[in-house]
Amino acid sequence: MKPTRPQLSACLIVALATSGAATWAESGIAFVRKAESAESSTAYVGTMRAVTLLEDGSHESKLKVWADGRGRFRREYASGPAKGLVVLLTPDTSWRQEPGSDDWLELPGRKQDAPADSGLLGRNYDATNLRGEKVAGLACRVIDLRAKHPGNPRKTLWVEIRTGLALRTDQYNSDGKLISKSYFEELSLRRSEDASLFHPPTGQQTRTTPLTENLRPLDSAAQLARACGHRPDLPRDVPPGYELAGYFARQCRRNVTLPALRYFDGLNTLLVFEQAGGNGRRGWGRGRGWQFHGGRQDCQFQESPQQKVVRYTDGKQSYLIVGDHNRDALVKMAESIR
Amino acid sequence: MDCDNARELLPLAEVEALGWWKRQQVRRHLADCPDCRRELEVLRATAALLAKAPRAKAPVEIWRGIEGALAQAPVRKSARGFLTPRRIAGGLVGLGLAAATVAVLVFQRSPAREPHVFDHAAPFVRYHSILSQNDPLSDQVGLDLRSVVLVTNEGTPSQKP
Repeated sequence: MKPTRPQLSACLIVALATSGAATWAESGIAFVRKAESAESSTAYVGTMRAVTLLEDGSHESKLKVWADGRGRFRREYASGPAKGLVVLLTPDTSWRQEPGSDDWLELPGRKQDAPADSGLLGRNYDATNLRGEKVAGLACRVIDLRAKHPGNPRKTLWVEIRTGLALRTDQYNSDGKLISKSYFEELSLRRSEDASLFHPPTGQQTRTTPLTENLRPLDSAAQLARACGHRPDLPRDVPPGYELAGYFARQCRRNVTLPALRYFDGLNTLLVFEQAGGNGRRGWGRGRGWQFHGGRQDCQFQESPQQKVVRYTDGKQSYLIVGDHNRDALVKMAESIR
Repeated sequence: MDCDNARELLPLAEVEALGWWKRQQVRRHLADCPDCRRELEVLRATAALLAKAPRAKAPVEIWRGIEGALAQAPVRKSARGFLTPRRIAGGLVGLGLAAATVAVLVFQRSPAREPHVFDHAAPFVRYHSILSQNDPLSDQVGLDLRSVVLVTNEGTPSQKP
């Protein structure tokens, strides 16, 4: 039967709409990739405002930011709960000067423990190109980044069309609640003349933060097994989209070394810690907010707007999972650790 | 969870007297076990019947009997002989000292803030914040604030979990 003209027109409209949607979605992913690389390759100086929802309510902060276009950043907080905080990031090392302190804490840099993406972001997230909008007077594309698997956080990015820099980020938690909004109020795309901005002042004391002492990144499960004296217990049920992306040896009290694992889905991190003792005598004790039933299988759960914590004990061993994901999936993950 | 455990917990689950995790375990067991689901229906039906049943009124003689028994019960020895003025004064001084000690401990141990829900998990949450900083497109500013708040709540950043 020969198709009629209206039928042909309808088919044409559907085909055009489908191909248009595909291109639109693809350009969303392309914008996200651009934002990822522009973050460390664009030099700028600017001021930002951020509103963050923490356990005790919402906080507003103002900060000044510098980037040298070679992966080095400086953030200085001028107001809010972090007033006085200075953060320096470089590919190899980063430093923090906490408010009211003269010391600079040294932390691992991006190269050392950033998980390799290996296409996870594209596989696990859909980027929808929503509309055009201006931030700090610059034209941006608004990209909605949503997980393909339920239970994950999501974010919306305002990506500057010319440079690809994300000028505004709205972060939603796994319950769909807006937990953080940060945006540029002023932005000047120029390199700062002062190279000393990206390093602690010479002569000022730097000390290594416990993270580098207590949570040592390792390359493989074999290295981790050697460091801890036993093979790490792995969860058999990992939320869809997540892959094992990092091994850490955690030095705890009494010179015991325990494994910690990092799971990553391209945007979001879940950490699994093995804890000393499962019989209620060691580890966390019986502190406020946590009930611990000695020698029995038990699971506790705590949440804040930013992340969830599950602690599971099977009677012999305890495990702790930290991350922002659906509660049931985290409990299932904890229960499957063997 | 097996059927015996589940049936033991069913009445508690019905009146919401179980913790979240146990409730989930019972819920999961019920989803897979038709026998326990029937048991739950029976339990609910019985509770409904009991709620509808007329309440019996106790006869007046019962209270008179209780009154009589109370009147015949041996009376406890008076404390009057024990409480001399000297002992009372000593006791008051002791109580005062104890109250002062408790007050000092409480004020020293309570900072201005409210108890924090993540006090015990703080070191682990801080590890998560610091490691997440290096994730692509991470919410750097939000993570900075979280780290500051966690360090403040933890007291000292060198505390080992």
